[in-house]
Amino acid sequence: MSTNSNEIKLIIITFQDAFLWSIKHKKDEYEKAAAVISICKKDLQKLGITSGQSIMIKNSFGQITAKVKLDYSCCAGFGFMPKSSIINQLANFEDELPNFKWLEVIACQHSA
Amino acid sequence: MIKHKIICTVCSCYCDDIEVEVENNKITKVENACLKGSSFIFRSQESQQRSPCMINRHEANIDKVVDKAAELLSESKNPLIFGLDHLTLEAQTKGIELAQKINGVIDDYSSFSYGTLNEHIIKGSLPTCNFDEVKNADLIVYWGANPQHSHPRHLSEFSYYSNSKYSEISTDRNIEMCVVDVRKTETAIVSSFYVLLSPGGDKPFMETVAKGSEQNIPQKKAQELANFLVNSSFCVLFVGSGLVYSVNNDIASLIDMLNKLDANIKVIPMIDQPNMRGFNQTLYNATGFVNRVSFKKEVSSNDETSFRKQLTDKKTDCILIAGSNPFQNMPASINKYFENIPIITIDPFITETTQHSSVLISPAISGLESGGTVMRMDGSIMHLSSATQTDKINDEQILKMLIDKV
Repeated sequence: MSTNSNEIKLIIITFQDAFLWSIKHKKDEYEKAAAVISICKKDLQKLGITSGQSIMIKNSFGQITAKVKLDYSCCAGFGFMPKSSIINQLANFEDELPNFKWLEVIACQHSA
Repeated sequence: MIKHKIICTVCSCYCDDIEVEVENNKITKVENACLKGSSFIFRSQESQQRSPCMINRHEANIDKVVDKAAELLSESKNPLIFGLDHLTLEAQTKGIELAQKINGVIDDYSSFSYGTLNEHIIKGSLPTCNFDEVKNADLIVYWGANPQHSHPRHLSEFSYYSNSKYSEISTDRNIEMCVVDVRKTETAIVSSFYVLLSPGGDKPFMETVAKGSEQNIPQKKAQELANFLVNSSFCVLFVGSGLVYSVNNDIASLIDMLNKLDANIKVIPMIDQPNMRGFNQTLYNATGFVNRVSFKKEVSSNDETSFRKQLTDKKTDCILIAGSNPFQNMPASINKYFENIPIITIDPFITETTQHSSVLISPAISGLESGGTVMRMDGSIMHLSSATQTDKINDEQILKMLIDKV
């Protein structure tokens, strides 16, 4: 994947979230809570945004919009998102397993 | 008002101390359940959340939908049965019988998660123990697992806080809890010791830990974890999906680490889907394989007979999905392969998958409206009871009807 100047490469790792699970049947609430990505300060600066703003996340399977959350325990180049039907739009099977724990994407500022 | 004690069926902990109050055949109060359990139980009481029996989006009675499902399965040349991890052992047995009768393929979520790990446990090549034994452990390790979210009552009911050696007074506490993960999770925060790995770093870290008895270990954290493992008299290692996915289902490095450490370590998988271990065990007992079983010509199991390959290679021409929601839980890239395939779904709730189904069969909910047995993540058999009455038949009865009609 090649990137433009305002884009960065990220590897997304998904995790389980009990709250999200409990509202999985409430579509709007679920989609809002699921579209959140935690990244480090360095990547936040590269994207030229602050915590709470939205970014576009894309790969060859599609694109999604997610709200950014600053996470000091995050490594640069990695993002964490709750496992959900939102991030699943960008997921695929790599060999026999889905790439829920190593999902390569490009992130950029959300222009809307 | 009547009080019932039930078993929660949301995750593979199968918490057996859930108390519900029932008024006019409706659950009005839930005690002891976690956020996931209570939300599941209350959702089950909302009629608009429950699935109707339908054929091509038109409501029909149970006999008609089962007839239609049987017709589709009988006409199919390559039928696939998928899911079953939320079903009782009795229903899973019927699902396997059905797959056998229609010469189909049967698979579940373990095919791309805990299948290999469960197979090693079932075959005895990985040592394991049950929750009663966990109470005597002096070291608990969560690796790639965050039970505070995946199994919210795990620490309090089955491992750290329920352990006989645990005390609120830290000086009286004779148990340690270690966490290995790529995030500083809620579980890591309450642990005695945690290792923050780089993503994908599990395999090399295990190899380093395995050298625990040797000198000059480069990674201080690996040495410290090795010390914890070797010095404990009884350690239980709870393996989460973080580890399974990080090693790409290659459990050899885990087995190698355990063998080299020469310590008393037992492994329990932190299975997400509640009765996945039950499915693996039931299928293994019937066929010698834990998942991905084809009954076409002879019994076989390989990558070609997996749910993923059957779909992506366009081999399947009819799919029966029981108690599972692949349209929400799986990579969306696979959804296109469902197009033009009749989908028969057995699910008590309206889900993304039921909305794509040609035939929708609505069963009673096991553990709330129907009984049965299930297998917990530690291999223990749990007996479900019911709290409310329903005129719906259960998964086992539905699958039995299908067996009789195909």
